[in-house]
Amino acid sequence: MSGGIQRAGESRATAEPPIVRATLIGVALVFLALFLLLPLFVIFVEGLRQGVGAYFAALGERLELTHVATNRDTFAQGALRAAKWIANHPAGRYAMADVLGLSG
Amino acid sequence: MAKRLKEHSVLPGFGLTMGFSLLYLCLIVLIPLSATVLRSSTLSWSQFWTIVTDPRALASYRLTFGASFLAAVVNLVFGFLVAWVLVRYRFPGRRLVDGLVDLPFALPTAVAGIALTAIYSEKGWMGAPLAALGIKAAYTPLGVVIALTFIGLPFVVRTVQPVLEDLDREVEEASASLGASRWTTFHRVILPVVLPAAITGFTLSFSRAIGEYGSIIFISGNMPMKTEITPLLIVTKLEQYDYAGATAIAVVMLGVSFAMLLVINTLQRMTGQKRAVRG
Repeated sequence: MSGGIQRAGESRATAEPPIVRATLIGVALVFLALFLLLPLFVIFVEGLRQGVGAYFAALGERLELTHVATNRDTFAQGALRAAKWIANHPAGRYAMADVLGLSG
Repeated sequence: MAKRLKEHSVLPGFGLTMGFSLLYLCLIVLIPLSATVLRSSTLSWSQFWTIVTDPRALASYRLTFGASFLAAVVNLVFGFLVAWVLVRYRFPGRRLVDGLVDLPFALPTAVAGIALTAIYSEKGWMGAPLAALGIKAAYTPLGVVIALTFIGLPFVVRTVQPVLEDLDREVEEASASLGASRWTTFHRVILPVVLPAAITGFTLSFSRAIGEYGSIIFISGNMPMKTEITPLLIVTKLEQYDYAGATAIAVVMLGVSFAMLLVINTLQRMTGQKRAVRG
């Protein structure tokens, strides 16, 4: 370990003991593995999760319309908007399309 | 004033370059910032105060500044260590690791956020073992600290690395020949030289973390009062067309950030001066 790590022509007086070096390198590498390699790895795994075949199939053509909600704020804002709108309207039956002004 | 600058300056073309720098600074930094202040000044003082001291806003300041500070401290310690290991030691894969350090800059922050959420959610690779220990990472302030650490990682490494590389080995040899132990040499000789660069890295990491948005919104869960960061609060207000409210909070953020950066810079100058006197 010490032979491979130690710089050529370096005197012992300006070097750390091998055990200190090994520990420092170990801690640095574990930290980087946890914070850098793991996210990178996950991205590749997630990207190819459906298999390489599916990935290449997608190179042809693909049109998708997907709704993904990652946050309940979206729904809360819709509810608030509807509440604001309905406050100024007489009692009755309304749809979201009325709130958004899409019902014509 | 102009005449005095002219007399004292040994740099050719000082007036021109100074004017150019100031113009650039105005166009890119000062004008947008003053627009923020102008926008929020449409509010009366009491309205402004009500918005910026709203409990939800206060909770978000605490999270944003607290988590950014913690993340910057983690980055200061581990970034220094990584820089030291990369400069001083030789081991297999060193160049690869050196290249990997810049990854957080290259990766779009939203991608980083989703990846980190996948890792640290309760069923993720890191989240599951942590959950077994009773620690929840994703959707808690801890998750915010983790994401901010990732985002700020390269700063300390990249500011400390060149200073360590330029450090003269002879100084260390002199220190050793005068009987200093390796540890004494490290904290009396090496550390004072590297410290200003490390503080610069800390400041950069800290200020980057304060403004960070993309990587946080996935991992934090954005629960008001608990895991909602200030930049998200600003975006929420913008989405509700509350421009004045959004800029009011932005002004507070700017003010606090500026004050903190000023303090850190002053500290840094003081450490620099101390070194100059000692040397």
